[in-house]
Amino acid sequence: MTLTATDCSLSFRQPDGSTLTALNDVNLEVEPGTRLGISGPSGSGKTTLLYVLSGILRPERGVVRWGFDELTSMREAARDRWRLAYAGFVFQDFLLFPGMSPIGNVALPASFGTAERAGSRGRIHAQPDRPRDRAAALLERVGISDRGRDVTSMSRGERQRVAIARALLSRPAVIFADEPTASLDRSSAADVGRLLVGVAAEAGATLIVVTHDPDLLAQMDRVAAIEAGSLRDRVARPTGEGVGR
Amino acid sequence: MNPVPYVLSDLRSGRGTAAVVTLLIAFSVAIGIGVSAQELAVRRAANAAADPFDLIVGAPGSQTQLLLSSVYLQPSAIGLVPGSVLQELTERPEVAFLSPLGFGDQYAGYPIVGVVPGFATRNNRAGLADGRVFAALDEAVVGSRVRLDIGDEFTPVHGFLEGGIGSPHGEFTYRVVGRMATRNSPWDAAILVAIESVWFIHGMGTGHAEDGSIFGHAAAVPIGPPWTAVEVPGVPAIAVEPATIRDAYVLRSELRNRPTTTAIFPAEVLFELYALLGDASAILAVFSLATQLLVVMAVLVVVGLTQRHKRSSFAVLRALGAPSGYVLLAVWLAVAVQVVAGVLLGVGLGQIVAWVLSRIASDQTGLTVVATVSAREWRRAGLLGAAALVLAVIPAIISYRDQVADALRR
Repeated sequence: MTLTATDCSLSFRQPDGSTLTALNDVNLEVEPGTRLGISGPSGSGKTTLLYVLSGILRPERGVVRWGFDELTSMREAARDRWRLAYAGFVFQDFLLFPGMSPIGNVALPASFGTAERAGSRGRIHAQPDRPRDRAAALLERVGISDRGRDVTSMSRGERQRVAIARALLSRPAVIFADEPTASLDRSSAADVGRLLVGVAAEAGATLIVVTHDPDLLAQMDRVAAIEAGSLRDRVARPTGEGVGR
Repeated sequence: MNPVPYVLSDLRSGRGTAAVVTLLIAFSVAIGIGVSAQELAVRRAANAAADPFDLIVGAPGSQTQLLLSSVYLQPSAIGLVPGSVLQELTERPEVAFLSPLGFGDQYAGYPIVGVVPGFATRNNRAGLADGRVFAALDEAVVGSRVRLDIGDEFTPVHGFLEGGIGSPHGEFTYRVVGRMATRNSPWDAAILVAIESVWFIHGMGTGHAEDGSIFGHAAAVPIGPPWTAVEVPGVPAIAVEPATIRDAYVLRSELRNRPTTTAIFPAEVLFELYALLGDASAILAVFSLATQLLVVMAVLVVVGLTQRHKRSSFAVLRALGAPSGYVLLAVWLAVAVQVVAGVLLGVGLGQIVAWVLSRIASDQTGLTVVATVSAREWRRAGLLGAAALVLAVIPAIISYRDQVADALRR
């Protein structure tokens, strides 16, 4: 399904009383299966746009649609259910749960409850029947063989791989990634970037990535550049070098 | 929705904090339970110790003081009942048995009490553990906890203080001839001697008509009633076993109203004492519960503060699609696990605290105090746990209302 943002604006009140415009009349259309990069300087509104597109934040003005469903008119609980059914999330600092094994982390979203989504044969359950089996398979796919140890003992690259596996548990239609390679060294960043793009393609999922990483941006179908809350430009098929800098 | 996997990982990753929280709650509950169980146990023990004493006659004054001095052997200076009353009661048909109780001396901290021989065997209803009853002026029967053996001799010291800060009674010595069976009362640490010897070494004669020097002739002095001296010495108290219940009331009523005596039923004085202490006990119970609740609230504040550090975790849960109710339940459940574990552990520890306090109370009072955690303590612990579970909703609600985007940015 197509994810659309129409005339979305959002501002925040700053501690000094001033108002910061985070998004300013943003319009964006992301076709199913598209790999979209969002780039821009720090504080330009990249992450805010990602949160608005994923239903975590609701814009003050404008509409976000998932197909015919209007995310912006849903109550918070409905948006939670939407994310559980349709979306996967990858964060810059992995944000895995300590005290839990990789397999426990990956399977955790299955404990949130049932979520249904529209399928070709009507509503279907988004959650896998055997979450731990699926989690094990996903960990194998992302190259994590030791699935029993605590995630805090893993390298940063390994942790981000676990986080990518977690994002894939419910076979998401769209994967949101917020600076997924920013906390990694160059070599790990390249591996994780390729992995993320690869698994999204395998799953047929839309991939929306906020990043400064030119190598990762180079693997996107499109890059939306944002500055001071405004989508300044749209670049199709970036060549890599210089994009987003 | 099943937040258990998350809660378990949360407790595992913060096991140090969880252990401290659980232990704080456990200690709070344990102390409350220990003290509460103790109070009940001391009452039971005090009742049991007073059981053999039907009626106590003493000089006018504080009934509580008379009770403490005579039943619980608490050292204090109380007035004397005239010897004439002792003589009179010996002849009264309402009296089945009596014994004067002559306090004032001690040996190595053990109070020496002048009584009649029958008192050592509870008027022949209880045998001795060893030896025989004293039959002469210089013989003694010791309580079960007195560290003297049969055949040992000792010199009494005037006064109540251990270590003999008081004057030794000259050349007078007692010889131990018997040991009482355990009574589970302060009398287990007492030394029983003939009342005549107490009178004698205080220069009051022997209470019998044929007085004279007894050194070397102790066996010649009669022991026990009737006391035939023209002027029988006074005694601090008289333990009376009335012939019938009616007689008990007759004697109490009559002796209470005389200018030279008072009479008490120990059980009645204890009851009045408990009634008085009961109000204080109820107030203490409220304060105790309030204190425990404050501890639990302080613990919950700590829990709440630690939850603030977990904001990003909760935000991740929400971003991954967990409903807000999942976060609320997860936070509450994590606290609930610690509270319930703390309360259960506290009840167990409370049993240990009660046991330790019982030992201390037994050593200090001579009573056999056995404290057990009863339904009352379980109820109080349950009440505290329930209050904590209700209060735990507060950090849960705070976490649940948190803004996901704000928390994710931190």
